[in-house]
Amino acid sequence: MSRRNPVFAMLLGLCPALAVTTRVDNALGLGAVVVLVLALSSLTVSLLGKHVPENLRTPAYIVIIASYVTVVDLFLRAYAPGLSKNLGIFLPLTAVNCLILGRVLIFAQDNPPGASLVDAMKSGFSFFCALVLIALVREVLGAGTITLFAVGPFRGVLVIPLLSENPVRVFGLAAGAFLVAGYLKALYDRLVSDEETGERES
Amino acid sequence: MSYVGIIVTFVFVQNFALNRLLGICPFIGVSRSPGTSLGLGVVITVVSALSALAARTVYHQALLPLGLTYLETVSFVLIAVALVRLLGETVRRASPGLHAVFGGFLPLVTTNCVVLGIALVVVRDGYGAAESIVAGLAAGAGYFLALGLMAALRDSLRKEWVPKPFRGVSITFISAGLMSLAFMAFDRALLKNLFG
Amino acid sequence: MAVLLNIVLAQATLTLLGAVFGFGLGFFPSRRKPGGSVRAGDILPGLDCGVCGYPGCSSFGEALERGEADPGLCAPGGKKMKNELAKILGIEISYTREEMVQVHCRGGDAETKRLFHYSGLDDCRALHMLFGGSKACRFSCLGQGSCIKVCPREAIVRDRNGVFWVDPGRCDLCGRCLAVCPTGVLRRIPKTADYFVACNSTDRGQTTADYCSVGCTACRACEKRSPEGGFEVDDHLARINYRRRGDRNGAVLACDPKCIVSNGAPPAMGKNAKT
Repeated sequence: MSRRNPVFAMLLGLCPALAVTTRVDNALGLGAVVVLVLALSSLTVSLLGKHVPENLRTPAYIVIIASYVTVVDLFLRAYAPGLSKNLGIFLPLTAVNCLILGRVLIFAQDNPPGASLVDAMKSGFSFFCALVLIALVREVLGAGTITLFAVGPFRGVLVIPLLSENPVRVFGLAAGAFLVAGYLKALYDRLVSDEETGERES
Repeated sequence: MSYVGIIVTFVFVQNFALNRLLGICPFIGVSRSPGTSLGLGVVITVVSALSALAARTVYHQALLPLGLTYLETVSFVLIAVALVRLLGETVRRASPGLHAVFGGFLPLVTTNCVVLGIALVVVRDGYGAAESIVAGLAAGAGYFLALGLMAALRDSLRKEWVPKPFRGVSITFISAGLMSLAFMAFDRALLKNLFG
Repeated sequence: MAVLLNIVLAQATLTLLGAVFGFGLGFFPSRRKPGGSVRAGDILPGLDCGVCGYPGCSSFGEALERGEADPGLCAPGGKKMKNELAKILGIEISYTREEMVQVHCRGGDAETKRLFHYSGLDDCRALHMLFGGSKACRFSCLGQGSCIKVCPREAIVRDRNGVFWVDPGRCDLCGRCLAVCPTGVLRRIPKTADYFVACNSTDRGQTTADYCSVGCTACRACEKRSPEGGFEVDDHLARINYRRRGDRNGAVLACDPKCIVSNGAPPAMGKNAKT
């Protein structure tokens, strides 16, 4: 959890962070998708950005991002149909994820490819961490399980004894997403000095 | 599904902000002030209706016959961006007064999950043209409703004492969570009882 | 062959869509005007995410230039962008923008002249209705402790002389005391403030000096001695612009009525000690 966490400090990419975090495997999946798309788009934009006319930048970048999202979408449909189905419309919605567009506009378009890639990896990874953290809290409390991917004899689901019999169902619902995000944001503000988060009620 | 059913579904049961968790970034940011919420709500209602219709038309007239359904994301994104700009310019030429009030909100809609989300939902659930418009309007109206309620809530919240780490965004999230709980009263069973 | 056809088809469709919509877009001029001086809106990310609460980066930029918005509201922008913004807007951004309330008056029983002896209801607002208070200074702290009663954090303390202090460690700006104070002697300052001007009187210097021994006489000694400290005398009262962070010690020593006082913990007293 870096100091410039996209979800908690910058408040970007909140929709997927709240919507797909009902299960840990979904969060891992979408997190990986975002890291991948962010890295590829940053690289592309840092190479092409200077050749795009100023007033067409946002549309052009969105199309670049959307193309990568489509590639990843098709790939997942072929090789991980279950995950693709669970993510539903949130997979294509990655195209308008403000985190990706944000990093591309703020950083990649004015910086060389190498630096852009590093920046994309950093932001992507801390987004990934935030997503997994939210999902962990929500799934453990909401269902009493931790769902991972099935590998060999491991069936992919860790069951937590007491909680799985009496789960707090609300954490799995939309309301739970808001509540968990609220408490985690408060914790984040508490731990990270407000020097850089800079959000204030006004 | 009947039109009333679609409206109730998208405004209450599947409220885009509070139940499907779409368009949360502006939801948290913009609900800070009631005036901005009103403007964004109106604009998003109009744009999501138009985008739903346009996306459906392009999908069924162009992508499906050509076997290019995998281009849906790219083309819908393109449609949303272009639609917003075109709408802005049309309104500016037709009625500068209207543009002065609502034009400023258009950029916020360009990359909004609600607009792309409704396009994807309409296509994936196979809605007809008229149904798409109604669904788009209803989804926008539901978002508008949530935004308005949230803005009013935050306005009164400002006068209350809140524990320090929760100030600002955290308490907004938690309020939204409680409101989302309230919206759970509208569920599929209610829809079934009302409209069969 | 089929694959190739598919690629061509996809290309063609997107090109067509792009052309149709691009034609519409191409008509309209760029939002940003080339040349000229750099404006606040140009530095913002252009992301239009709405986190700041304004409908898009350009309207946030306009609000910044009007001085209405706080650059800190742009959470995605990061520190570097905020520093650039500050340079353009000519302000200094403080990163710890936490504020507190402080009582801008040190005129206790001994320092400020009394007009009459008050023995009514123990409430500042009640007292204020009688000729604006029993002290000769109509801007002063009335000393009935209404703020102490409403403070949920017990942050306000009254010392033996009837002078009120706010503890920076306790106040977290809930604003309840601001609502009950009739004279406006409670004002907000940054929590990190080293000193504050403990006077609220905008009477002329000589008038203030006549009724209060610790009131600001608007002599401008602070401005002269610590120009880098952000002191500004305005409307016969010295104020500190906390965006300037220079040394303020010279002014503290130079102040004749000694009304520039340090913003620290209140003197050790019993909580809510009554006189």
